[in-house]
Amino acid sequence: MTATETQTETIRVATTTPGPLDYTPQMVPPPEPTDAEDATRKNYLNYDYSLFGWLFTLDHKRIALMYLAAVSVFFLFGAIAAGLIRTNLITPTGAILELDQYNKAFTAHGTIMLFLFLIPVIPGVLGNFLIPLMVGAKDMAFPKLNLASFYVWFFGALFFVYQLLVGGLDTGWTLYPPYSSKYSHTNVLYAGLGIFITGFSSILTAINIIATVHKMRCPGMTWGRLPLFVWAMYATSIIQLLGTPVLAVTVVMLAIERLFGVGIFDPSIGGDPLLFQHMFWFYSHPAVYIMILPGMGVINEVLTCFSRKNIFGYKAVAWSSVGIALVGFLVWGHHMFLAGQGYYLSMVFALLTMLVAVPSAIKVFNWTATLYGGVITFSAPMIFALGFILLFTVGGLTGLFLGTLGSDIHLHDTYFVIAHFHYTMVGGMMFAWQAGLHFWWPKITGRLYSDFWSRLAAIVMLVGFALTFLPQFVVGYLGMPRRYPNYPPEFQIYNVLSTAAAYVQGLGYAMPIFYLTASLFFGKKAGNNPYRATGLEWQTNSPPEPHNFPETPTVYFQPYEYGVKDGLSVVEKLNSGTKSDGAQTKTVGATSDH
Amino acid sequence: MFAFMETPPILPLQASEFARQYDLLFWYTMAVTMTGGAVVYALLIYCCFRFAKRSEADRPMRILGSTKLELIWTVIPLFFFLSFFVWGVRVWDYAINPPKEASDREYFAVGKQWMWKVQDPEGLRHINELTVKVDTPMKMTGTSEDVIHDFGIPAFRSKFDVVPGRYTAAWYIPRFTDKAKGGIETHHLFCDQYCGQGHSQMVGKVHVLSAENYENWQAGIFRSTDKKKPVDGSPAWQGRILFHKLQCNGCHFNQQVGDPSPKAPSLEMIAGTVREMADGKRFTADDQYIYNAIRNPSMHIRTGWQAIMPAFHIGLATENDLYNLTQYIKSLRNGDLPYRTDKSPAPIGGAPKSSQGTAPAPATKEGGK
Amino acid sequence: MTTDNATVPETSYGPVAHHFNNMGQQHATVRLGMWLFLVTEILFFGAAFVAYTAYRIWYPKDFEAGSAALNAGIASVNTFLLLISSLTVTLAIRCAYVGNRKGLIRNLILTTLLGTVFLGLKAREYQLDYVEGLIPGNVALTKEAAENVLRARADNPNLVVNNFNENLKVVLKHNGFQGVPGKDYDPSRVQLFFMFYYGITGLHVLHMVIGLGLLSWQIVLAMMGFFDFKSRYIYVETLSLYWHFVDMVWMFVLPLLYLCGPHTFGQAVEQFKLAIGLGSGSGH
Repeated sequence: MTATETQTETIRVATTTPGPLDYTPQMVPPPEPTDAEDATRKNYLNYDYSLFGWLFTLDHKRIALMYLAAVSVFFLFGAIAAGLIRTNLITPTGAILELDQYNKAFTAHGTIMLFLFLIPVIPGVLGNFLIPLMVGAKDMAFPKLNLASFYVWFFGALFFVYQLLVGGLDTGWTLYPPYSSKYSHTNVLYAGLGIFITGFSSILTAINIIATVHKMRCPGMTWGRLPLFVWAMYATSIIQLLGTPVLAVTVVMLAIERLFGVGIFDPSIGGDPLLFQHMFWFYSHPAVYIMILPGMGVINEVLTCFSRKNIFGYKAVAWSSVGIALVGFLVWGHHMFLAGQGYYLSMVFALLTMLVAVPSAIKVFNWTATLYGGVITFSAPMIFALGFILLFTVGGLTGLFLGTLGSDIHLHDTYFVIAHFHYTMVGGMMFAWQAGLHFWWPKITGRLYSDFWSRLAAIVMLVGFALTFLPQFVVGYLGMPRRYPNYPPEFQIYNVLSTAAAYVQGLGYAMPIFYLTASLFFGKKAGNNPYRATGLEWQTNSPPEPHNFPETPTVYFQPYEYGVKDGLSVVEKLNSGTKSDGAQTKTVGATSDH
Repeated sequence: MFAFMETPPILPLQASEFARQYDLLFWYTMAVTMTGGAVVYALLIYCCFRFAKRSEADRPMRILGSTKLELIWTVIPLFFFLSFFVWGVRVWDYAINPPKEASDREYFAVGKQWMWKVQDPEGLRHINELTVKVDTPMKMTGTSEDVIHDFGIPAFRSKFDVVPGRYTAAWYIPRFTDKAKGGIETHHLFCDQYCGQGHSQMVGKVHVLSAENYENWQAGIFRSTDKKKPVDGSPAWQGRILFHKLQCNGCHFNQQVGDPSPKAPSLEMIAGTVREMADGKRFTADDQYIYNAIRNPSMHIRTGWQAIMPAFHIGLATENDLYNLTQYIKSLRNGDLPYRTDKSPAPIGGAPKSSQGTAPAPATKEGGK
Repeated sequence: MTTDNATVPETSYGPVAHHFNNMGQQHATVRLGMWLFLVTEILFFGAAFVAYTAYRIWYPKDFEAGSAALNAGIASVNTFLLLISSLTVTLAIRCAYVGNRKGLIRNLILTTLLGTVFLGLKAREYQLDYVEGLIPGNVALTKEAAENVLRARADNPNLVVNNFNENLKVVLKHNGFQGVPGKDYDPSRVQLFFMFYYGITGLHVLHMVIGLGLLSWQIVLAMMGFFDFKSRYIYVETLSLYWHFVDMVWMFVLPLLYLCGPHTFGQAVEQFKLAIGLGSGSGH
């Protein structure tokens, strides 16, 4: 790459003096509260110790913690199901499960991981916690709705898990009729109801986030100054808003058919099972973008902080999030190339799929370019973030095989698909979640965790994950189908390798439980901004006080202004060059050696 | 438990014409994506090493973006993705548009929980087995009786969903691979759409046969598996029914414990062998020999056997029947001759009913087997 | 964009929620929230309508037949009821805006009443459908059973049999539908239409019930003096948005389901009379 690129911006200069909490980049950090002050300073965790105060809280930060606890428990269930699956696949004839039990296990794994972990985790935990902080607001737009959203999700999830345990669900997370409507002997109706209820929460959270970003930004926080995490959450919320209702009505139609024995997908009265697939995938493809976009948002924050560099191409990354959200609604048919879909329709979907791959590629290149010329420290969040880029690249590239019409024929419904989506969802989203959790843990809890153990956990997870799914690409290309508890013996070696690595991966996931919990009791106090990060959330105390900021902040600068000469000097320069209308054209960032 | 004895496969066999075309697209995509991935990885690793923090005095560069670079890395990937699309459409087009020759040979598969019922153009039926002739285009049409299944043959690189209430199809030109031996090659047939408890049990075999073996298989003589019976519907299958109906197994049976010794030679594996007659003549057991042996047994009395077999004239067995019986007899392999049951009475038109034991018959020589 | 100062009345305005800066922001946010929710509802019903449209394009004749068997009289009256209720709820907003408590309560009660009558007529419509035997499922009659049905019907023309196809034919004959079963339309396929009919109208009823619940709640709040702060008109406005939406859904349901097949004015009148018990003899 050549020398640094410059961009001109118009900076509106404030007429009042910046206060101590104003967002000025790389400023000398405000004096940390002394221990005496700290003891009396109330934050959102210690201002009220009552149960009532937690169960009926309106504070978005407490709601985020409740999500964190619940999501972690459900993740554990999903992980146990995964363990059962992989252990069973050690032998070609099924090591520990009967056929029925295996079918219930993979259905449980899929539904729990998707609906009860991947979709709610970052919006529910990091989104709820951080968005008001990042935009400078006191709370989300609708705090009571936020709480309601949590309870709706939580009780829907409990109900759903109950159905899985009592009788189970064996249709696969895709619920295709006629199997799910007529032939399955499991709790399709109630499980569908559970999914329907948790979908409501998705919608309500999305409404909250969109309204917050539109209406609750503090003075000076224009759209162009929003952190990219907020852009990503905004795009995610659009998808949730538009897509989830379609899943809801699809599940309702399926439930009607299940309950009454006759319905709109029934071939015997002229119905079409493919209609279900169209309606289902119309949501479920954008759903995978609901899962990954927040993760991408987190990566922006982490990468910039630990390379001390501004994001490369802010506009490109912001718009690519929106582009993925919108174009992602147009590609659902690539799950149905072999289903008997029309010839020309398949071609349209294949073309659009190639188009939706482009924004993701742009992001990856932008992230790599962000690293260039930076000053990189390899903290745990950074290792997770780098792992994200490595693994998501593989996941995204293998998706191209599946989105290409011809090559999907052989790979459809094989382990190649499984490996692809685990690379994007686990290697991508899960790693981004870990990056975010580790990055904002000091902010959320006010404590620092062990550097050594967190980095070790990151590496264990990375190695374990990569080796679990790499053999699955091979065995998928060889033709091993998905959802098979038994398989031809020649595939055994790949399954054994995959299972062995899966145990390593599981160990990796278990490790944060220990050092993060330990940090709560033994960790050093974090202070406002242990990473010297930009972003409004880092300008207030850790853990934040109940209403986030002592007074409403005002924003003057672009996000990610790492490496700018110390803030006060810049403000002086700007003030000296003020024009009559208060605006000034300034070329920012020549060859700065700061 | 651990099948480490054989080297595991790394790449699937290319057992059809489409497989070859498919693999070209696949490896092209693989080459491009691996190159792109390698570029990203290389840049990433380079940046991590080159720009790692070494001291507190390090300062980052200030780079906000570059529209030129953005355009480059938008257009180049887009170009490659579109190349995948274009090539993919061509491969797709080949795969789902059967030419006329293929449509002329139409196989039919019905998926049901949890088995495949396959029928070939001549009407021969199997469960979980597909037998095809090498180098011959064929079309496979499918439907389902209950839920959605998927008829998938990895070696052919082909699969298609079978949906209740409609017909879907694929077509193939099977080819032999380097590993083919003896004019037969077998591949996996999988159900590739989750369909319930027995989804993983709904697997079968695809046998690709040379032209000669295929002819014999259609007659029922060549069998691609170890099944005792010839394929459903074939002449040999019908011959087998006749074999029982005409009670040939009254004398020609596989001896079990408790049976009297058979009164007739075993008919297993006799096709093409040289038979020695009682009068010293030798004949090759070809179709004509077998025909004569049924129509007019006294023409050929084998050494060591009595001439007790009745003649099956045209009233007892038509010419077609005789053809079927001949194919059946030619198809008999070791151990295939049916057993005798308690209900096996005396053969038709032959010796008296008590011929289960010794059988005095005119103009015969006493003797052992 | 962070503050949205609509034309707001000046006096005795109302308390601002703790996380908002001013009333304008609060109003704008609440309004945006409701519109966002309505977008999800559009997608919800929209998906059902798209599925319906797919089948209607494939099976036009069967869907015409199905529509001809529906009670257009009740549907027409219901349409008027809903439209008027949308008017009354809008009037309620104005009353809240200017602080007219009595007017507000009156309009809200009127809206609730109209909605309840709608539901009552809808329930009657469902009951008539049930009595006429238009319940999908159980279509395959054996030959003897079909003959038995014909014989039994010869004695008692109003006989209801647990068989959709036969009942459909009776209803269509009564309504004067011109198609011949088997030739012009397939009675089994009409079940698809009826699954959509019950499903879509059922979802609509569910939304109406929720709306009525919210209206009742607001009536109680109004009686308790909640809306004496004029700034709280916004909540009546958001409820009215929801109510209008439910009305709009009905405006799609009506032509798609009811006007798909042939109906005459006379038929509709007769059907409505039947519904409210003034039927001319051939009532069930």
